[in-house]
Amino acid sequence: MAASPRRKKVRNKPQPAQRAPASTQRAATRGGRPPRAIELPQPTRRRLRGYAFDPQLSTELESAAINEIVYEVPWEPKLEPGPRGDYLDVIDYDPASGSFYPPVDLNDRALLAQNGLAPSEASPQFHQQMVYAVAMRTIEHFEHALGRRVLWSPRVQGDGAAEYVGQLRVYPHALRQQNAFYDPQRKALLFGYFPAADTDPGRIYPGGTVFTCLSQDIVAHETTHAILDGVHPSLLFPSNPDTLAFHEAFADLVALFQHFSLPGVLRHQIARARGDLRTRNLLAELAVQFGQATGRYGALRSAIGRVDPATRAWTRLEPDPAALMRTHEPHERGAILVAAVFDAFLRIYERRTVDLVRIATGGSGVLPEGALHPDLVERLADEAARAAGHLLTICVRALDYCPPVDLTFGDYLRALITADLQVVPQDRLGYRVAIVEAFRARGIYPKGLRSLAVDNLVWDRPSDEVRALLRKRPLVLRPYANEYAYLDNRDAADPRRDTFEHLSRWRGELHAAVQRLLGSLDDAQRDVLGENMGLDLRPGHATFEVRSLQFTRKASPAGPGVPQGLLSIVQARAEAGGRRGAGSFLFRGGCTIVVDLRSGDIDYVVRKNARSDARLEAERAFRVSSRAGLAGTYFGAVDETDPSRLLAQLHGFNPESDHG
Amino acid sequence: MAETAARQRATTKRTTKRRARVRIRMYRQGIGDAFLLSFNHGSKPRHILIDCGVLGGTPDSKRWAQRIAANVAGETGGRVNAIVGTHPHWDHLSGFLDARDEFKALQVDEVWLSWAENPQDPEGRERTRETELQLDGARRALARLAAAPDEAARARAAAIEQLLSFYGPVGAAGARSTAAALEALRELAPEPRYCEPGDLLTPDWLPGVRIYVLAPPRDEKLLGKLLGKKGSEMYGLGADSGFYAALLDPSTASEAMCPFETGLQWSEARARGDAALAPIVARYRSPDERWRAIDDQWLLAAEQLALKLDNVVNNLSMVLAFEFTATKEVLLFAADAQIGNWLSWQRPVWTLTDGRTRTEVRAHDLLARTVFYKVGHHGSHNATLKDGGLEAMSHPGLVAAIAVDEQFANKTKKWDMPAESLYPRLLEKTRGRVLRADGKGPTATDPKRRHADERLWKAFAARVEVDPGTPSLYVDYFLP
Repeated sequence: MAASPRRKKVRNKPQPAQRAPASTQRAATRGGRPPRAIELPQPTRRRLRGYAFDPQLSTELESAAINEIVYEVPWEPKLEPGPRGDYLDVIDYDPASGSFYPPVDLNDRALLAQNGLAPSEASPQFHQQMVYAVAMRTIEHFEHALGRRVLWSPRVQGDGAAEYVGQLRVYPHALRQQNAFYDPQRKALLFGYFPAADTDPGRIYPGGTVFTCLSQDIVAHETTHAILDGVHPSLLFPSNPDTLAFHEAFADLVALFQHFSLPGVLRHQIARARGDLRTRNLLAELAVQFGQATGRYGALRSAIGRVDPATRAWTRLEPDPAALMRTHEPHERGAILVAAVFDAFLRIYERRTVDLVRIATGGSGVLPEGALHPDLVERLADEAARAAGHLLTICVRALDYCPPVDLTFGDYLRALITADLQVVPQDRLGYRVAIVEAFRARGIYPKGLRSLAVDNLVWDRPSDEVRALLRKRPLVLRPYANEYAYLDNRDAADPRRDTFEHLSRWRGELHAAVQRLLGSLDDAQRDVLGENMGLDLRPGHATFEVRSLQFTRKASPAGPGVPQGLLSIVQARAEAGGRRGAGSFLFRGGCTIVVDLRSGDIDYVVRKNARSDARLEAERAFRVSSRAGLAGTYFGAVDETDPSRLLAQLHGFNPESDHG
Repeated sequence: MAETAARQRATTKRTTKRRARVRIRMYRQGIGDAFLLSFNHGSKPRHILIDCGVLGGTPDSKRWAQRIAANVAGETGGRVNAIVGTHPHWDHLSGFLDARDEFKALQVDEVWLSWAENPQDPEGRERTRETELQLDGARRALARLAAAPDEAARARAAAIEQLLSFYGPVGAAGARSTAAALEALRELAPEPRYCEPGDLLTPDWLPGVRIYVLAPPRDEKLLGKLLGKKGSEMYGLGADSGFYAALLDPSTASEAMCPFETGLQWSEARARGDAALAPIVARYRSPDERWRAIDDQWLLAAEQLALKLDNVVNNLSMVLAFEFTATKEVLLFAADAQIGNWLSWQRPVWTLTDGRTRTEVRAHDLLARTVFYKVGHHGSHNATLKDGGLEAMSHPGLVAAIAVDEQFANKTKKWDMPAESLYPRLLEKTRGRVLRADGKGPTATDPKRRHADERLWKAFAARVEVDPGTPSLYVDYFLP
């Protein structure tokens, strides 16, 4: 296989070494240099031990060897006991027991010298270390993919003012139940613990305590909910069956692909399976094992393939394109999306490794019996980790190209394709085709397209007429972008707060700029523009909010990437609910505008029409059906007054019917 | 002319009533079930009363129980052949307690309950014990939440409290509990008959009718079935959970429920005095950060506990299908069965022998022949299975009855009853022939009954009679 841009290793850029302040006081004196202190480079990574999965796997001989790993997370110079750093504030208070647990100090010399505490269920301090390590790793993955700092969703006060939230609170022992959730009102992760059931004594010590904060999957999943809320707050206001499902699926995808980015685990598993690649798909099998071990990703078992217990042969299952129509419960619906993305990953991995297998087998492609050559294992694991990293990055980047409200799986597919096109114009390894195929096979596609060809799925570019209208009073983003580029100054006291505050101010300025633009247009022109931007711009209706502003320049293997400005404009109006007229809701519409900062031209306008009656009707119907579950019957439909309840319930007990 | 027509209608009605095989009387207390079935049996009709309850919080609920009891006494001449208690929820049993004396004055030949209410049944005992402990847990959590500083937490606690009104009036003492109501019912007859799914009752005093017992299932999984969330069991909130232990008096809570050895735990007072912990406590208790405190969040597990409890107890509903042997038509009383209960109906098979012919009867046969359906759980979404349930009720003469007060459910309780997701389909399947306790069903002029043609509608209307009194006590349906 020819080397392609995709092959290039994507590595984290090393942080510029910082110098110890003492060394800067260097007086130049005549006649030679005075003695000076040794300059020590600051560390860039902090190494922390933890579980690769969860504590249960350490008690099994087979997996014990790989379950205890060392996480590498960014070095936070100002990390305090807790741990409390720039992003996270772990407070270990257990209200049910009425106790505090002493905080771990990761800067303690004893811990620095031995990669933190050793994994232990019995030590609350290790629990704090584990949640910190996994959450930081998840944050880093996002920052790397998005090309900007993660900001938590602001605290919105009663008067609508948005207040900066620096750190996500993490409570490792908050609940006494089998539940863990992100609380969007408290900007906090709450983890529960519970006695192990005696239903599966083979694996779990009955009567022992299971801590959700010790599961890599759960921590990564909940952290992702929090990050996603910062990027796309509207996803917590469900407006169609896909919004909440997307939240779930996305959190699961991040957790899943983070497993595949641990090469040690992959190497071990691939070697153990002896790589009979002809009949089995190692990675799919691995995913199924992950699922069994962690009790998650249930859909992968049924949606990707099956391992025959007798012959150990793996067969790929035909995905069911009608499943999406039948499935309404957010987890189950989300699982279909997880399966689709994972399927795309499998296709890409196969494509990336077929040459390796041919080389290793003298061209036959048929591997001999017995153990695989360690070099081959190494290379296969490497390819898998790389493909997983790519897919995770693509999934995260697509968030920037989603409509600001009312996201559907079909929209997300278009966002994925558009995002990838920005970064890798030449799709030589067929990533985009693999994604489209995997989605189509599961019935996930956008409505109203003539074909599912890749170039058809890219969001539409605005028409010449719209461009001309927008050019009358251009939205000038470049000065902001220039300033933005230097906001992230490591010497600043709080660069993330700086960024947040600047962006808020600029959004206000841009709001005024859009109003000036509208003021310069006549009614017919406003109508055309409104139609194309999904907004109701008729006189008397034209209140809107500049919801978000972001700047991005996504590094790619092909080059430095296109600098883009992303601006989203949202309108909301109250609409009556269902049959009883009760349950009025805010119906939202608007657009995400993608601006090429080099030319100032508008690349894409991704819109959800605020004037669409069809959308309004669909949302009404969805709100009626969302009262369908038992919780819906008694506690009302999912609503916007209490998003905390939404996620707590989503992760807890809510018997839904499968026939709604 | 009009007068003649009116007289003619009255005559038709009288004939219909006289010839009816059974009169089904639905009482109109609001949310709560009380159905009196009076089977035509020459000069001495046979009477079966299914449940008698009024949901806690219903205005005048005790008075309603007494009105119903008095009406039953009058209609039956003081003798009821059998009383069925479908499941231990207040809105199905409260009447036996609130009108205890009235019921005691009746002659009740038999009381039918499900296996789950049998004190001799180990599984039944276990169920009862678990329900009581979970209820206790939920109530303890609510008591603490009532004092929570967080307004949102208190609002949620109030909603949970409404849900617990299925176990007795809010804030009532233990004497007015569902358990006490069940005891009051039990003592009306010498020894209750405890029914199993798959039983076939053919009382000799009721010839021409077979009664199939479809549920409650004994299957643990179906009772707690979490549709849409397979494999996720809600253990960890029951009696042996840390959640419950933390709600008990700390002196009696066992140390084993603590997540760590006690030496690792610092009380807040001690933590304040410790150099390492003091900054953590200060941060947590800082007035600026109070909005992020989680002191009460763990108690909100009571919400899920209450939902689980409700689901399981409703799934313990005894479901009866009355079949007329001559016409094979079926009256289906689904009590408050939730999905798990409905799914379990597929299991029992009844083998009927008539001379040399043996026929097997299964639930789907009964559903296909159903002409009267007592809608599950006041018309809520999860209590009528669609595929294989409502959709399988294919008889063209299907009539449905919902014991609901929509206004009270929506406005006071904030519950979705009848469910917006179910009700329209119910109207379609029955061609508009839906009887509602709140009288808000389709009427002759209602566009919702457009599914029935004029002739069918008239025939239906002739079989329905509403108590003209104030308050109107009941609505009757006469099955021809």
